[in-house]
Amino acid sequence: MIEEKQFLENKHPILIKIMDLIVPAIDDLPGAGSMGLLNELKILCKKYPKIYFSIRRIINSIEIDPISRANGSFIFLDIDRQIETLKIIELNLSDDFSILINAIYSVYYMNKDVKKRINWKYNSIQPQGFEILPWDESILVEIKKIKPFWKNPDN
Amino acid sequence: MVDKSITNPDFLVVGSGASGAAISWRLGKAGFKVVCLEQGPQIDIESYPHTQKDWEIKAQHEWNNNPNIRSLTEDYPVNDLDSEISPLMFNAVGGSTIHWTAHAPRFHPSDFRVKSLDGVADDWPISYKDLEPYYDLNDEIMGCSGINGDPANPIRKKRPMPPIPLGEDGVLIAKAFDKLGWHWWPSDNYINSTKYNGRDSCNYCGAVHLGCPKGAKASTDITYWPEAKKFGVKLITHCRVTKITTSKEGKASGVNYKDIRNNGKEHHISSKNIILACNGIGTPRLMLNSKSEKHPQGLGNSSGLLGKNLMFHPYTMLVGLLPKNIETYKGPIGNSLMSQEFYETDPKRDFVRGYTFQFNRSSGPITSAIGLASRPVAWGENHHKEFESRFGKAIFLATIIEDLPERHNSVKIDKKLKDSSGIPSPKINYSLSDNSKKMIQHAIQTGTTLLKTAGATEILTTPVSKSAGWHLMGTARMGDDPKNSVTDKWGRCHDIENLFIVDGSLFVTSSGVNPTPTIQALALRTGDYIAKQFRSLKK
Ligand SMILES: Cc1cc2nc3c(=O)[nH]c(=O)nc-3n(C[C@H](O)[C@H](O)[C@H](O)COP(=O)(O)OP(=O)(O)OC[C@H]3O[C@@H](n4cnc5c(N)ncnc54)[C@H](O)[C@@H]3O)c2cc1C
Repeated sequence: MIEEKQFLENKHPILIKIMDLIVPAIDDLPGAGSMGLLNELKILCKKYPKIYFSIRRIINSIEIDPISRANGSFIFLDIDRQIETLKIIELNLSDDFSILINAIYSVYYMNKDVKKRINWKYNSIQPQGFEILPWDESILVEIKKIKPFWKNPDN
Repeated sequence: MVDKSITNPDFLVVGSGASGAAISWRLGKAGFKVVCLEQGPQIDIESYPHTQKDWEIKAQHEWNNNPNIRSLTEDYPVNDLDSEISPLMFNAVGGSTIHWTAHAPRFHPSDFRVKSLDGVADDWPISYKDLEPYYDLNDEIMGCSGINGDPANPIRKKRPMPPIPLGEDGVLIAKAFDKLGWHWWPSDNYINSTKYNGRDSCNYCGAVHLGCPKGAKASTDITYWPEAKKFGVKLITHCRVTKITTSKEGKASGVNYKDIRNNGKEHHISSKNIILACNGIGTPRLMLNSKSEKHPQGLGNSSGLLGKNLMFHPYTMLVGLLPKNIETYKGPIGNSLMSQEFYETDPKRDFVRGYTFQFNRSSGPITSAIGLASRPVAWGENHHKEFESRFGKAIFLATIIEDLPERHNSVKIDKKLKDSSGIPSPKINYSLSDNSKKMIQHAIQTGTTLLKTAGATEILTTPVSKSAGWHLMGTARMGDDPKNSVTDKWGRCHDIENLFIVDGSLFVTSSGVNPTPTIQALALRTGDYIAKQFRSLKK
């Protein structure tokens, strides 16, 4: 989709800003946008066009916001005003916003530095699986003291 | 051209999920000529997302439990705008058992006698005893992990495998129940705790709701189907049945279907008998779409009850956040223990019937952030703090509320929405009853007490989870009176003697437990009945 590619290329600065607002910097990691995850987001948009359509509606709506326009662009607003604008969008375009959030969280928590920070050591969950405490019947000692209490309708 | 080997079978089964597989196996074993048409594909075990690094992204899209989000060619859209709960299902060989979490409880004997005991809904035309041998048989074929001695349920045949381990989080919850003096018991699961019937044992990766790449979770594509095929049952994929055709006398004569890979042309197969196993939404949809001169309100609908009395099981989700990360994503997400402390009617409460608590788990980091079964982690300045409070620390208490049948909760045909073959889609109307709402309030209180006792420092509450329509029941109920039911106690349509239903549509009431072992037991029981009644069909 050429249109999609062009739209997203033109909106780099605003998308990076939104990503930073959604997942801000922590410890020595910058926010999701400044980490360079926009490319991953664009890949996701290509694979799942509904993410692109939601992003487009959100950005269009930000761009017609009178305060953003008065200041030249959303990216020139102070951070409180930017957050305020996103909160209004979240209310008015709730489905689109939730798709955007999910997409940003998805690319963020796939990142290897983020995984390291949260101590998630896995690329995938198979074939290795996980180990859990084995079954131990002694856990039933207390509950076995309860007498059968199911109702028998034939009695 | 329709392949000759599949024309005019003794039984044509539509749908290859939990129930379609069970009955096909039974009738194949009995020596009948059986053909099953399934709109979805055969899933290649290699294609499950668990081994890929974007598995949690795929879970949100092509492996989503909601067909409206997944939107694959084999899915049909469901209009759920007027429903408080969204129906979830999977369309492939194995049906929704591809995605199910394989918790396999049984109905209680009291569940079949709701009217007699509590004066609500209706009694079933059958009893627990009628189903018991079929529950046992199903446990064997699907492979049940569990243990006898549960004081809330009748003693039953020894399960073929020991229980799934509870894990550190499960033990914590079990001890909290003990402390309160409340019932709990290890869940019965159709997940292998040991190797079973040539299938591997579970390695506790967690995400059973996306399929199982080890084959440790029983889905009918790897349990019943390989055996059914050995008996000569023909399973044909990518065939979407568009209509059940009828003869001049009003009997079922066959089906029209479309090959969804090669769209456009409709084919016809005639059959001596037809069995519907399309689930509690797909079956009424197909029957309502099969109107004819003799059946102007939809096939088999002289009672007017087809599509009515839809039951889902409202789910209340409580997420307890522990102070310490104990890696609560390790172990099957679905269920390792349950409590039926509040299952049976208690006149001291302001509602009838009851509910089961199921202990569920969390999942990987993306799923934790987007909020499985609860709201997503906050964006903005609180994001990291909130994520940290949840990841590896969240224990889920899912409450499965007994849903009573109400006629206004229904499946109808949508006037506009169609699937990829141009077939009208179902429209759901569903709202919660006052009884359910009272039960939900009760469950929030008791569940909060439990989670606090287990050490949770914060509790996130979702009174009714919209995306929890896992159980589809009641839309073609069974009964003795043709005016008050769609089928008889064998699943045979009162109006059409050669049309049977074997899926969750048959349910008279929903109980407070997951339905699939009961659905499959009903299908096996009908299979036994047919095998005796229709002996003369066999060559
Ligand atoms: C995520 C998830 C988790 C679940 N967890 C549990 C659990 O832990 N325990 C439990 O008991 N239950 C659980 N369930 C529910 C369980 O999966 C269903 O109760 C069960 O699969 C229903 O069996 P069925 O045969 O009625 O229908 P299904 O298994 O849904 O099969 C119906 C089949 O019919 C096919 N079909 C429909 N219409 C047509 C047509 N017109 N032409 C051709 N084919 C058609 C479909 O493609 C599908 O394959 C879960 C469900 C989901 C989605």
